[in-house]
Amino acid sequence: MRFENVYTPEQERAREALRKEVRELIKAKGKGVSGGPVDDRTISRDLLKRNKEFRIELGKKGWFMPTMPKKYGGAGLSPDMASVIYDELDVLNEWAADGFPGGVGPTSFVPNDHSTGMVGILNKIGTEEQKDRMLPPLVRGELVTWEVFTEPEAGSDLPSLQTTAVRDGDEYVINGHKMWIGGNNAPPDVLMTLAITDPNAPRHRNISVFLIPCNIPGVHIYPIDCLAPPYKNQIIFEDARFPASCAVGEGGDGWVAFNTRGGDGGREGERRRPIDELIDYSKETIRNGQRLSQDPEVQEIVTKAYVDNEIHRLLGLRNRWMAEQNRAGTAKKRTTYEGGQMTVYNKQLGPRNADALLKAWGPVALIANEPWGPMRGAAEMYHRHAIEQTHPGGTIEINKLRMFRSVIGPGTRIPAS
Amino acid sequence: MDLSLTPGQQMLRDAARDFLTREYPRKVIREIDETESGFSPELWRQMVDMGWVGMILPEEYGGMGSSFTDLGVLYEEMGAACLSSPHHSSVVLGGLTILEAGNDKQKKKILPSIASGQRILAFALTEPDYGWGPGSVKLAATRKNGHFVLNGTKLFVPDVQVADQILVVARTSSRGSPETGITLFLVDKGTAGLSSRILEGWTGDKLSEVIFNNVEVPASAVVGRVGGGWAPLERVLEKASIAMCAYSVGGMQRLLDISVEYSQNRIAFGVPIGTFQRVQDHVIEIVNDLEAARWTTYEALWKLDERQSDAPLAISMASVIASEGFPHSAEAAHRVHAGIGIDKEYGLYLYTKKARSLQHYLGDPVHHRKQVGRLLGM
Ligand SMILES: Cc1cc2nc3c(=O)[nH]c(=O)nc-3n(C[C@H](O)[C@H](O)[C@H](O)COP(=O)(O)OP(=O)(O)OC[C@H]3O[C@@H](n4cnc5c(N)ncnc54)[C@H](O)[C@@H]3O)c2cc1C
Repeated sequence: MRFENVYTPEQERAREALRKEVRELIKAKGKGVSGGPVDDRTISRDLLKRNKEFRIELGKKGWFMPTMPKKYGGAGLSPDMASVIYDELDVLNEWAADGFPGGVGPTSFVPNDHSTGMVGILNKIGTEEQKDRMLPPLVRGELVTWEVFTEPEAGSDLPSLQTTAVRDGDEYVINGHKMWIGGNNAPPDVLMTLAITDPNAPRHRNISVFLIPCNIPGVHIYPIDCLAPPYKNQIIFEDARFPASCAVGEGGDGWVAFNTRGGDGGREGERRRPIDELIDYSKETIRNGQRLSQDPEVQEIVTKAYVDNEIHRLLGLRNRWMAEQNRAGTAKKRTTYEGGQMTVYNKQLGPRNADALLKAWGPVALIANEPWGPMRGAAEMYHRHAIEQTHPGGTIEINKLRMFRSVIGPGTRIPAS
Repeated sequence: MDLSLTPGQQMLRDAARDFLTREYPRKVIREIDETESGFSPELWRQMVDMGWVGMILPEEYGGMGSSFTDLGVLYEEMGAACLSSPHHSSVVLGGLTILEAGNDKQKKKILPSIASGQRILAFALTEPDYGWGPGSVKLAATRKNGHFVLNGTKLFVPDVQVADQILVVARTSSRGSPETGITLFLVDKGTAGLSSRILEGWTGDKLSEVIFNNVEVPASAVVGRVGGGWAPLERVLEKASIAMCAYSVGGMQRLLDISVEYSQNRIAFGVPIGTFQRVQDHVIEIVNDLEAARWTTYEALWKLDERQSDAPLAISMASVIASEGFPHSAEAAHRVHAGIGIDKEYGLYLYTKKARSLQHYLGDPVHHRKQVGRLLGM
């Protein structure tokens, strides 16, 4: 066994060259593309615009989704090589909220947003023609994509959704109400939307997936004031017409699509910076004549959090290794529950970390102002994010259900699906 | 044995509950929370009219001489509504400190105006060198020509933005044991050299940083005896802590009520989500937190009213349970609610952030556990 990658001199050289190249790009074009832990009202249009421009710069090099094949706009890199890029891009996440498992900062630079999910879907159900046409702009970072699945009456129970898309000649007409929608980047260019296309088909086979442009009449986006930025949105489709070519797959495969989206796991298995912040702040802060970290109670809280986060890292490392094996065709064990386990662990870890911050540091953990707020004020935002992040992409409860299914294997019936 | 409320307490509870449900639903609480001061003069006036403000103070000073259990009943209802007001700072911490430590003249002059809500006090204890014992009080008060000069910083002080005066816990001497040098001062907020700002962040009440830069006050600003502040203060902190436990009990009760209601009305997979055992588990967690906090709190209130010698032990125990239980219950409520819980309009977050800031208010669970240990002779 070996818990780290060892590279040949030649590989080292390639990594170093890539690292240098990424640094240069960041230096040249990466100014002001991410910001501090601020609320939505202070995230400027300008910042979002610069953020998008930089995505496109990355895309030109194939680095927006570096593991994608070159013919679709990626760089054809292994996940391991891609992590060189993610590591370097991390300097743009100067506000640490993003690095904490279970938290995503609003203005941190997240290299691939919901577009990754869309790419996953296209890979799974897209026809060759659709892939050739739709993948490149997504892979090159040119399209800010939002996942538009959930509805007021269909969250965990997504197949009960009511939005309909009706074919009318060369177009579809979509009507419906979507809820809690939005990624880190705005405004969106395209909406990856699930809608019922065949009301007579059985559950799970009546839904299709569409990549709908936002700039068509009948698409209304209303922000919802949420406890952490960026705001989520309600989207109302009101007789919105779009070309039939926006349909993905053959129709009726929306549920399959939903279940196969997901990132490339490029950064899994790495130590997240905020746990270092928890340790460092506790070591550096002197209260009542002694380091916070000398207090046995604080030690207990911090070491517990450290262990929790190390487990998170190792589960991720395992997943990454398995993914590499799968990719190379050398896997001895089929991946089953591991992804779901990581999701559940990650979602549970967020609130546990928030709790540790508050208990170890006291109320400063809830304060945004300098000089009191630790992590340059990001700690308090982390509290809000950790709560929010337990829900998107399925609640902890639903992910436990998924995980359990993959533990017991296919074909076993369990209620509520 | 009788663990029920007296008829008078039931009336107080019903009146408070009716009024707060009618006039201060979460929507209104959120509106107040989002103002800069977080203070509603209208609400404060109504609280005065209903007799809530003076209630705990003796009749001779314009109060009603109510018991601590009465106060607990009211605080439970305020917690259920997630109400923010300067009641705790001004009356419980401020008023009771004047009552415990002040001389006759001070009591006569100050307490009636606190009871009538005309005078609002803030209470400044904690500092950047955080802690709740006398050792953590560093803000220096030095004598100069019969005056005192205050220098230092107070942190996380609630209600400064609406207060007329600040009750400041300061250090007049560093000789001897930490408690011997503690002196209490009542300082006008407008005094030269005193500045404050509200801290931004995810806090329940608005908390301020207060900086004392050569703030000169007359000797008459001393409440009680120079160097004799800690003993009366300790007694007040116990009472103030248990009042906030009752507040947390109310908060947890409301978290339970809305979670139960939501679990019965929200449909997923064709059934109410309360059908799912994982959802039931969250509701059960809240019930367990709530009941543990409720009975430790009310027993402590009863012991306080009965002047039982182990009341401080009961209070610290209740504080541990309530200050851990309230945020834990809020988290469970978020799990029940999923998406809708993050919508500010729904207002669940008001409880969540209140619960988090209360965890450390007047002593975190670690502090109170240590108190329990000490009082058990460990
Ligand atoms: C911050 C945030 C961002 C989001 N972003 C997006 C987005 O970009 N696009 C998008 O489409 N959606 C998004 N969502 C929506 C998210 O996917 C849903 O909130 C989530 O699927 C849960 O649905 P719900 O909120 O309707 O809760 P419900 O489904 O009503 O769940 C309520 C409770 O019931 C439980 N429950 C339900 N069914 C079961 C069961 N069978 N067994 C056990 N427990 C069950 C749940 O776990 C939860 O505890 C976002 C949500 C949040 C909070």
